[in-house]
Amino acid sequence: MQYKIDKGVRSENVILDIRNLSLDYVMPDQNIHAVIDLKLVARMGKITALVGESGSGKSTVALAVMGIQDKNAIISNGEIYLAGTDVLSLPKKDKRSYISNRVGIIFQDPIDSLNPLLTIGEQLVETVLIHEKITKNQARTIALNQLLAVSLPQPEELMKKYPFMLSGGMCQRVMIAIASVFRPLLLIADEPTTALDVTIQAQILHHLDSMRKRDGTAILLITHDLGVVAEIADDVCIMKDGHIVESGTVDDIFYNPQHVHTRQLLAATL
Amino acid sequence: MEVLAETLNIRKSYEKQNLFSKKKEKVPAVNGVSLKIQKGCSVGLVGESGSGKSTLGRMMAGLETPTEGQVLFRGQSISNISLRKMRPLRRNIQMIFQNSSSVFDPSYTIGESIAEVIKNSEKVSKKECLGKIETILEQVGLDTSYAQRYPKELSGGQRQRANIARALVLHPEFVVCDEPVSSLDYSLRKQVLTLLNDLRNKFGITYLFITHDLNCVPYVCDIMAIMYAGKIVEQIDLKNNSMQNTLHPYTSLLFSCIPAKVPAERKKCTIESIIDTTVIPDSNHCCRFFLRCPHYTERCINEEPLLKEVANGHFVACHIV
Amino acid sequence: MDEDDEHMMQIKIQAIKKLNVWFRSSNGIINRIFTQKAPVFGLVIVALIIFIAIAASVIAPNDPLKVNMSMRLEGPSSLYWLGTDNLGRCIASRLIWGARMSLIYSLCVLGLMMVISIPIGLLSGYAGGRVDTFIMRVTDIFLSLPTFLMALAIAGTLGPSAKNMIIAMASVWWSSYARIIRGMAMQMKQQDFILAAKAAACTHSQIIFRHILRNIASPIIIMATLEIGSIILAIASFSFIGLGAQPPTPEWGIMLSDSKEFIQTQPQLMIYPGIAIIITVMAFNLLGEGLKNAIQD
Repeated sequence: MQYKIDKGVRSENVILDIRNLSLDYVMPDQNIHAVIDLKLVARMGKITALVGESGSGKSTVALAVMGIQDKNAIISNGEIYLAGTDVLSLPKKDKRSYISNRVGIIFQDPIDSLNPLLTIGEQLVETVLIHEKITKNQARTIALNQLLAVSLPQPEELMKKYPFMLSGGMCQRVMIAIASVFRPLLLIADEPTTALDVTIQAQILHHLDSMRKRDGTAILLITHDLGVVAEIADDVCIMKDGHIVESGTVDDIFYNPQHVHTRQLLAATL
Repeated sequence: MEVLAETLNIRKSYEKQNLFSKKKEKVPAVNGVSLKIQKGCSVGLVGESGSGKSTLGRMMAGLETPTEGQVLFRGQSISNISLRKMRPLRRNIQMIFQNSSSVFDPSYTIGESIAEVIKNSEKVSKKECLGKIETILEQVGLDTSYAQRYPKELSGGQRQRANIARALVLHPEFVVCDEPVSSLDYSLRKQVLTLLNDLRNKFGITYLFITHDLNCVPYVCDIMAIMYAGKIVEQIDLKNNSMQNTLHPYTSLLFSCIPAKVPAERKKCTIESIIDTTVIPDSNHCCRFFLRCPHYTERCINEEPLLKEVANGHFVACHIV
Repeated sequence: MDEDDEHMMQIKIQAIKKLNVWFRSSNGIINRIFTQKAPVFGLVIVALIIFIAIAASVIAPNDPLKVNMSMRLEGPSSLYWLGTDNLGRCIASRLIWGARMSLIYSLCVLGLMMVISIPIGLLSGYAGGRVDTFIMRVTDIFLSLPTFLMALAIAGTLGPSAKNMIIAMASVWWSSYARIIRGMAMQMKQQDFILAAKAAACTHSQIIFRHILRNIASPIIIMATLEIGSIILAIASFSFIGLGAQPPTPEWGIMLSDSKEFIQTQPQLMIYPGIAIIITVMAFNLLGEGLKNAIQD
């Protein structure tokens, strides 16, 4: 096996290190450069926010890290180091298990992300069993604890319910429970609170925050809401038309923005 | 001041058919709301999803019939009249819908959709109609060529502008805006809110502005009403009172949940008070918020609080205030 | 282990793309041919059949009704392209005229069905409530009747003729259409733009015709195209058992019926109209499928 390994990365608590990533969508008549020469680092226990307007390519980055980009998306350049190994150099067979054992992902629309035909309990237990060789009962206990960890009330009852019986906020917390069940090194949260009320948003952010403190998870938070960024992020990358136009710590970005686009975004907050 | 639109203790409940029994379950959405909207005094209606704010908005726009109570527009009841009788009133009651991607009929161009509104209320020549469409498109900041485009060819922000253009083309007196900016990127929200405000000043429109985002309210509204579980729990006149002066514990909860504007304003999350919204006591004889309320007393469980005036133009429905 | 991961990946992919992944992954070579080539092929044949039907009087080499007892059961020749039947009539000419008759009859049935089912379906779906319940009970009654037997009974009582066959078929088959159109109308009624149309002061008729009907028109057209095939088949069957068009009309079903006595000695008499029916039905079905796929994308 000759994967590209970068040991230096490991020592600095860097979980995800994207270097010079370029990604094109191949269309019949043209190629669209969705991501251009992107550099991004997510560290253990830190929240890195990737901020951009819709269409700026920020979700494409998330999919590329997960290795589930569209079929017509071609990664033309760059490396994605996940826990010290370039996932792009991994053979297809190993790639999937390598990534899914280390990265969890939650999406904007929590109700669509859950399988409507299975109960919450079945989906959680299934995820536990994929990652650990244990009995169903043990998996159930883990699942219950997981639901308690995201402070969902009456987890026993909840396990028997179907996704449509839950509110959006509860579904999103179930998604967090599922995504964090195997203690991933990296959690990608793609617009996790955009569809939710402010009170629920506060809860979700609280859980993300406690997750990185408790488990040391690195979180890649993809959002267009600078309020969320100001509230919990540590590092910020501002993305526009596939480029990172500015990156820095959250204080740098908010108190000393350099790029015009960053200033525009800040000026547009209500 | 002249009262433009008014609701008299309206209620709306939806019937939910149980699969296995004949009994129909009634799910209340709006639970006795009396709201007066004066001309030139836009009201911001704030609440979480499921609080009944959209239902209230649709009833005030005459698009839904209340189960109980009445909606008055200029003193005339519009809650129980047919589509035909409603027609002449339509030019003064319009609505901006939330989801701009589905509110345009996909088989017509933007221009055709706007023309429909004009033709239904006014007798105009083709040329006048075109002129009106072009004027309003320019006013909302869209190029006039967008009239020939189909809705799916526009981006979200452009469609929302077209949506606003359609509602405002006749210069109505009263416009219900149902979450007009929540489907937009943050960078676009301010633009659209400013646009709504400009058009309000230009045409003298009164808005009922429905939103779940407290930050939007001061941009377009003079009065803020907070809705919880189908009831208005607090109503505050922003001209005479500061927005920070709110008293109801639910309003404070909403304020405390707004994310910080800059990193220095970060607060240590007060997560304890945020208990699940799904638990709403199903009784009319208690405060519906008491389960989530940090300060509830025995009185809150036994008696429903009513709106009372605590300061000039400031009403609160809470026992402990 | 790998399989489990793959399963999880699938769930994740489904979550990202609300599009169904299965449609994509099944988009193999066979599928591609069927979604691209077949409808074009169908369209060409349908166009050809329509052309033949319109120009029947010009193309046909002989009078399809002219009996020539001296030329019975002849083989193909320059005058009789496909030979003659048991009464010495030109088979080729009868087939060509048959295309015209089949198309005319099936379009009549289809038109009549649409005229009945579209207004009823729209009204039922849009009005809802008691009107809907009543109309749907009536269509349920029609739906519960065995279609073919019912049409047989009507044709039998009214007397066998092409006109009665058309009436019989339309009066039975409209019900399933009304149901489908009602469903589509109900779905449309839920759309946000209908609410917006109400806010735009549209009347009920404007909403129904300008907004609902216009948006469900294309699925209705597809449905109709897919249905023509089975209508042509049904017409041929009725004529075959003597309840539809009457001899000596040049109609494919009648040709089949006429030739059944010679099935062992002169099988080509049966094969020609049979092939004509198969090709026509298949062409309309291919075209309909293609239209369906094109619109769903």
